Amino acid sequence: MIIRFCLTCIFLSAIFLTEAQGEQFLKQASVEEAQGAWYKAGISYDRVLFCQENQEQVIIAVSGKLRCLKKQQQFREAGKFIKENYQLIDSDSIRYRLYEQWILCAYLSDQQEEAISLADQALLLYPQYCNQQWLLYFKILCLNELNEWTMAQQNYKQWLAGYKIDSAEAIIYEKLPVLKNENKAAWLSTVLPGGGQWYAGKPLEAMTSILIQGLGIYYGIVSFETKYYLSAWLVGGGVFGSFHFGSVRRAEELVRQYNKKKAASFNSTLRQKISDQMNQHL
Amino acid sequence: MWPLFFCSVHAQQFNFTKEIKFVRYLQEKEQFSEAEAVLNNVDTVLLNPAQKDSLYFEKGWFAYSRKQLDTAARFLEKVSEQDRRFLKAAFFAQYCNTFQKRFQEARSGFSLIPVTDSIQQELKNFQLAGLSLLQRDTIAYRGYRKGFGYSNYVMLKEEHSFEQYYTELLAIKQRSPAVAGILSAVVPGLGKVYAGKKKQGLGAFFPVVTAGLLTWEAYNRGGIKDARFWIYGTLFTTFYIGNIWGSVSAVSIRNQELNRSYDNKILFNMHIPLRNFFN
Repeated sequence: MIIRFCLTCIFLSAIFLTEAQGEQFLKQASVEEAQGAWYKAGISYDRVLFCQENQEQVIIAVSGKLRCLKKQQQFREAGKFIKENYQLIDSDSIRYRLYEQWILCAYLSDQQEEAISLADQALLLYPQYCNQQWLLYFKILCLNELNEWTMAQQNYKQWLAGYKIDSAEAIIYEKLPVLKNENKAAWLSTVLPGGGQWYAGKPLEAMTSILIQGLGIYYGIVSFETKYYLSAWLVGGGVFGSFHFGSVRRAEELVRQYNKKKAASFNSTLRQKISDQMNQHL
Repeated sequence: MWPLFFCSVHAQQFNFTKEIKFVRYLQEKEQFSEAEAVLNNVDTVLLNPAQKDSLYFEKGWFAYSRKQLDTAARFLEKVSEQDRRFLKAAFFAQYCNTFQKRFQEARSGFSLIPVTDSIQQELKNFQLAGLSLLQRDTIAYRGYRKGFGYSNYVMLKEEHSFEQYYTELLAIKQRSPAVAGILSAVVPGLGKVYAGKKKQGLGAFFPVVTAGLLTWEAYNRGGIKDARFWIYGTLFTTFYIGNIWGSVSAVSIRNQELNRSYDNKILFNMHIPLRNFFN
């Protein structure tokens, strides 16, 4: 009799514990989230997903965990989390929402190509739920970051048409930043010491380069005239040669930095303009 | 009162099992930091001895899979003999100690593992033989290799590999740093060639010879009072001494590299049978 009673107790307590766990963890997660303990809250949401008691809890847990990861600026991990868990969701409309978050996280973690690919997938998989304008908006931002301005412009025109805005607005893409040529900088530095640096917009570095290479040549000539032939070739020539070749490489690097800065500044202006337009139409 | 007590014990056990499953779930999802946090949050005071063993094993195995060998050894060593995974924990704990070059600790650890059958005994001998090779203790190695059966698939290839390493290690002649130094003093860079670094030898030869030629020219043209002679002479002396020092170091580095390459091979071969046997 006692054993039977014990077994009944155990059975009931086990049922009680398992049934209530998902709900308990959700409550715990929301308390932790409200306290700003994102990491802890994330684990509690993971517990809900581990229990997987009902679809409603799963949806709340997935979005909660995602929120926690985003709050911790872990966008790459957030993308990975969506990839691992979006199939737990049955509803296509919610899956599409997750895709949007996935795209956003890919963009914020500097995975522009991934974001573009995800936007295309979303368009194909959930045509009835997808917000084409929103997807286009992110594709444009990503293409800008990749410096694919021609393609970005085409998408931008399509986006403008979606909001019935005059395509003349796309004129912002007509004034593309003039990027400098790395090969040209290298060639200039080869022919004229300091020329590449000057071309890259660094006159002070150009002057320094000219000065050091000039000193090498001067030392070589003076040594040669005083019949220090080995010194002339090995020291004068050595100093000139090593700084000359170094200067060629440096010129290429400076042009790379210049181009990066120019593109970043142009993209920032574009981002601002397109985001403002987006906000107006939301 | 009693039924309630039993219920609470059962509930605790139930929760612990679920907690461990949850940790594995997080690991499968590659959420390692979360898994670690959950493991570290388990309150050991509430656990019974079997659960404690389980927890230590999980913590140790988790650390081992994350290549945190120090932590892994610490927790795996805590698993008691009552646990069904004791043998696995004990062998891997000592492997972790070996990997961290705690040879003495690993040797006594391996020796103390209680084995119940001939395969386990052979595995134990094999690990101790590997440990002896790592310490370059050939006498001890010869003693342990008597336990090699050369028949069990778990460690057949590795036993042959150990034999090969043993023969090779006996044949290796360690190069002398002093010889390298002398060679480099006679011909700059030759010591590095002796150490097996031909390109470095050439790289050392040219700067020393160039500085030497410049010094000779300065001396010839301006004599001992010429400033160039002193500047280039200083440069030459620095390069020349540096080249000798570099050659001495190159031989030591070469010996270390050779030893390290054998150590890595031995450790790798010690690991495979453990994985084969316990998986």
